[in-house]
Amino acid sequence: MTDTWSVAGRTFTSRLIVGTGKYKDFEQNAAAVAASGAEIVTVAVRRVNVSDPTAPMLTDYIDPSKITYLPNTAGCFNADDAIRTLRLAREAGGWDLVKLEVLGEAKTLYPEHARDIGSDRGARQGRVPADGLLRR
Amino acid sequence: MRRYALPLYGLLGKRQSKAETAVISIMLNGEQRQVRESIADLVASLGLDVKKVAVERNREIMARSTLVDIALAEGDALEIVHFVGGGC
Repeated sequence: MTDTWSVAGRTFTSRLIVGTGKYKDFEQNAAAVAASGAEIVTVAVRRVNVSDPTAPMLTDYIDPSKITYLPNTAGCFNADDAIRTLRLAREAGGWDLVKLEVLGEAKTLYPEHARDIGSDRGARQGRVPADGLLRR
Repeated sequence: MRRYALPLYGLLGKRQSKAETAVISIMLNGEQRQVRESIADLVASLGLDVKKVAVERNREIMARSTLVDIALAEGDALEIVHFVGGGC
Protein backbone atom coordinates (compact mmCIF):
# COMPACT_ATOMS: atom_id res chain seq x y z
CA MET A 1 0.00 0.00 0.00
CA THR A 2 1.34 3.42 -0.86
CA ASP A 3 0.30 6.23 1.40
CA THR A 4 0.68 9.67 -0.13
CA TRP A 5 -0.37 13.23 0.54
CA SER A 6 -0.40 16.29 -1.69
CA VAL A 7 0.07 20.00 -1.25
CA ALA A 8 0.49 22.76 -3.84
CA GLY A 9 0.40 20.20 -6.63
CA ARG A 10 3.19 18.09 -5.19
CA THR A 11 2.72 14.58 -3.87
CA PHE A 12 4.80 13.13 -1.05
CA THR A 13 5.08 9.77 0.65
CA SER A 14 6.93 10.94 3.75
CA ARG A 15 5.17 13.19 6.25
CA LEU A 16 8.40 14.19 7.91
CA ILE A 17 9.69 17.69 7.31
CA VAL A 18 13.33 18.09 8.28
CA GLY A 19 14.90 21.34 9.43
CA THR A 20 18.21 22.76 8.25
CA GLY A 21 19.15 24.99 11.14
CA LYS A 22 20.93 23.05 13.83
CA TYR A 23 23.30 20.70 12.06
CA LYS A 24 27.06 20.71 12.44
CA ASP A 25 27.53 21.13 8.71
CA PHE A 26 25.80 20.63 5.38
CA GLU A 27 27.12 17.07 4.99
CA GLN A 28 25.52 16.00 8.27
CA ASN A 29 22.28 17.74 7.30
CA ALA A 30 22.19 16.00 3.91
CA ALA A 31 22.93 12.65 5.57
CA ALA A 32 20.05 13.17 8.02
CA VAL A 33 17.65 13.97 5.20
CA ALA A 34 18.72 10.86 3.30
CA ALA A 35 18.52 8.60 6.36
CA SER A 36 15.10 9.87 7.40
CA GLY A 37 13.51 9.52 3.99
CA ALA A 38 12.10 13.04 4.33
CA GLU A 39 11.13 14.71 1.08
CA ILE A 40 10.79 18.25 2.40
CA VAL A 41 13.27 20.49 4.20
CA THR A 42 12.51 23.87 5.70
CA VAL A 43 14.93 26.60 4.76
CA ALA A 44 15.44 30.23 5.62
CA VAL A 45 16.01 33.10 3.22
CA ARG A 46 18.99 35.33 3.84
CA ARG A 47 21.21 37.84 2.14
CA VAL A 48 23.98 36.37 0.06
CA ASN A 49 27.35 36.99 1.66
CA VAL A 50 28.71 39.33 -1.00
CA SER A 51 32.14 39.51 0.58
CA ASP A 52 32.51 35.72 0.25
CA PRO A 53 30.00 34.48 -2.34
CA THR A 54 31.96 31.27 -2.87
CA ALA A 55 31.12 30.02 0.63
CA PRO A 56 29.35 26.61 0.49
CA MET A 57 25.62 26.81 -0.09
CA LEU A 58 22.88 24.51 1.14
CA THR A 59 21.80 23.85 -2.43
CA ASP A 60 25.21 22.28 -3.12
CA TYR A 61 24.42 19.55 -0.58
CA ILE A 62 20.65 19.10 -0.64
CA ASP A 63 19.44 19.06 -4.24
CA PRO A 64 16.31 21.22 -4.63
CA SER A 65 15.28 19.17 -7.66
CA LYS A 66 15.00 16.06 -5.46
CA ILE A 67 14.10 17.46 -2.06
CA THR A 68 11.38 20.09 -1.84
CA TYR A 69 12.57 23.31 -0.25
CA LEU A 70 9.96 24.84 2.01
CA PRO A 71 11.04 28.45 2.59
CA ASN A 72 10.01 29.75 5.99
CA THR A 73 9.88 33.17 7.53
CA ALA A 74 12.18 32.45 10.45
CA GLY A 75 13.26 35.72 11.99
CA CYS A 76 10.25 37.69 10.82
CA PHE A 77 8.40 39.53 13.55
CA ASN A 78 5.83 41.30 11.43
CA ALA A 79 3.68 40.51 8.43
CA ASP A 80 5.44 42.96 6.14
CA ASP A 81 8.79 41.23 6.63
CA ALA A 82 7.20 37.80 6.33
CA ILE A 83 5.46 38.54 3.05
CA ARG A 84 8.52 40.30 1.65
CA THR A 85 10.64 37.29 2.57
CA LEU A 86 8.28 34.78 1.01
CA ARG A 87 7.95 36.76 -2.20
CA LEU A 88 11.73 36.69 -2.50
CA ALA A 89 11.71 32.98 -1.68
CA ARG A 90 9.18 32.33 -4.39
CA GLU A 91 11.41 34.12 -6.91
CA ALA A 92 14.57 32.36 -5.70
CA GLY A 93 12.98 28.93 -5.79
CA GLY A 94 10.49 29.24 -8.57
CA TRP A 95 7.69 27.43 -6.76
CA ASP A 96 4.69 28.47 -4.69
CA LEU A 97 5.06 26.37 -1.56
CA VAL A 98 6.02 28.44 1.46
CA LYS A 99 5.69 28.26 5.22
CA LEU A 100 4.27 31.36 6.81
CA GLU A 101 4.94 32.16 10.43
CA VAL A 102 5.30 35.40 12.29
CA LEU A 103 7.21 35.19 15.52
CA GLY A 104 5.69 36.54 18.68
CA GLU A 105 8.92 37.07 20.57
CA ALA A 106 12.58 36.19 20.23
CA LYS A 107 13.09 33.90 23.21
CA THR A 108 10.73 31.00 22.50
CA LEU A 109 10.09 31.80 18.81
CA TYR A 110 6.48 31.00 19.59
CA PRO A 111 4.32 32.15 16.69
CA GLU A 112 1.95 35.07 16.86
CA HIS A 113 -1.20 33.62 15.37
CA ALA A 114 -3.13 36.82 14.96
CA ARG A 115 -0.32 38.16 12.82
CA ASP A 116 -0.06 34.88 10.94
CA ILE A 117 -3.65 35.31 9.93
CA GLY A 118 -3.06 38.93 9.00
CA SER A 119 -0.10 37.88 6.87
CA ASP A 120 -2.06 35.14 5.19
CA ARG A 121 -4.83 37.53 4.34
CA GLY A 122 -2.29 40.02 3.04
CA ALA A 123 -0.66 37.30 0.96
CA ARG A 124 -3.94 36.31 -0.61
CA GLN A 125 -4.70 39.88 -1.50
CA GLY A 126 -1.22 40.39 -2.81
CA ARG A 127 -0.60 43.20 -0.35
CA VAL A 128 -0.12 43.57 3.35
CA PRO A 129 -1.72 46.26 5.48
CA ALA A 130 1.28 46.76 7.72
CA ASP A 131 -0.65 48.60 10.41
CA GLY A 132 -3.83 46.60 10.27
CA LEU A 133 -2.74 43.19 11.47
CA LEU A 134 -4.10 43.25 14.98
CA ARG A 135 -7.14 45.27 14.13
CA ARG A 136 -9.48 42.33 14.11
CA MET B 1 33.81 59.70 -5.46
CA ARG B 2 36.24 57.66 -7.57
CA ARG B 3 36.25 58.76 -11.18
CA TYR B 4 39.58 57.43 -12.37
CA ALA B 5 37.97 55.01 -14.80
CA LEU B 6 36.62 57.72 -17.05
CA PRO B 7 39.90 59.37 -18.17
CA LEU B 8 41.28 55.88 -18.77
CA TYR B 9 38.83 55.38 -21.61
CA GLY B 10 40.29 58.46 -23.27
CA LEU B 11 43.83 57.09 -22.97
CA LEU B 12 42.84 53.78 -24.45
CA GLY B 13 41.15 55.47 -27.35
CA LYS B 14 37.77 53.90 -26.64
CA ARG B 15 34.75 55.47 -28.23
CA GLN B 16 32.99 58.13 -26.24
CA SER B 17 29.82 56.04 -26.01
CA LYS B 18 31.59 53.75 -23.54
CA ALA B 19 31.36 56.54 -21.02
CA GLU B 20 27.62 55.93 -20.84
CA THR B 21 28.31 52.90 -18.65
CA ALA B 22 29.76 55.15 -15.99
CA VAL B 23 30.54 53.80 -12.57
CA ILE B 24 27.62 54.25 -10.25
CA SER B 25 27.31 53.85 -6.55
CA ILE B 26 24.70 51.44 -5.17
CA MET B 27 23.91 49.69 -1.91
CA LEU B 28 24.35 45.93 -2.24
CA ASN B 29 23.06 43.96 0.73
CA GLY B 30 23.72 46.96 2.92
CA GLU B 31 27.24 47.62 1.61
CA GLN B 32 28.17 50.44 -0.69
CA ARG B 33 29.54 49.26 -4.03
CA GLN B 34 30.78 50.86 -7.23
CA VAL B 35 29.38 49.02 -10.23
CA ARG B 36 28.87 49.53 -13.94
CA GLU B 37 26.90 46.45 -14.98
CA SER B 38 23.39 45.19 -15.40
CA ILE B 39 21.97 43.25 -12.45
CA ALA B 40 22.54 39.93 -14.20
CA ASP B 41 26.19 40.76 -14.85
CA LEU B 42 26.63 41.89 -11.28
CA VAL B 43 25.20 38.60 -10.00
CA ALA B 44 27.52 36.68 -12.30
CA SER B 45 30.54 38.76 -11.33
CA LEU B 46 29.86 37.85 -7.70
CA GLY B 47 30.17 34.20 -8.68
CA LEU B 48 26.48 33.54 -8.03
CA ASP B 49 24.13 31.38 -10.05
CA VAL B 50 21.27 33.60 -11.11
CA LYS B 51 18.94 30.60 -10.87
CA LYS B 52 19.62 30.22 -7.15
CA VAL B 53 19.07 33.75 -5.96
CA ALA B 54 16.36 36.36 -5.87
CA VAL B 55 17.01 40.04 -6.37
CA GLU B 56 15.13 42.92 -4.87
CA ARG B 57 15.76 46.44 -6.17
CA ASN B 58 14.50 49.32 -4.09
CA ARG B 59 12.21 46.82 -2.31
CA GLU B 60 10.73 45.60 -5.58
CA ILE B 61 11.37 42.00 -6.59
CA MET B 62 12.94 41.63 -10.00
CA ALA B 63 11.66 38.80 -12.16
CA ARG B 64 14.61 36.58 -13.06
CA SER B 65 13.88 36.89 -16.78
CA THR B 66 14.30 40.66 -16.64
CA LEU B 67 17.64 40.81 -14.80
CA VAL B 68 19.67 40.89 -18.01
CA ASP B 69 17.91 44.01 -19.25
CA ILE B 70 17.93 46.07 -16.10
CA ALA B 71 20.64 48.69 -15.82
CA LEU B 72 21.33 49.92 -12.34
CA ALA B 73 20.85 53.54 -11.41
CA GLU B 74 22.82 55.68 -9.00
CA GLY B 75 21.66 55.14 -5.45
CA ASP B 76 19.80 51.88 -6.11
CA ALA B 77 19.44 49.58 -3.12
CA LEU B 78 19.85 45.93 -4.07
CA GLU B 79 19.16 42.90 -1.92
CA ILE B 80 20.35 39.54 -3.20
CA VAL B 81 19.07 36.59 -1.17
CA HIS B 82 19.25 32.81 -1.30
CA PHE B 83 18.21 29.80 0.72
CA VAL B 84 20.20 28.94 3.81
CA GLY B 85 19.81 26.47 6.63
CA GLY B 86 17.54 27.77 9.35
CA GLY B 87 14.15 27.69 10.92
CA CYS B 88 12.07 24.69 11.71
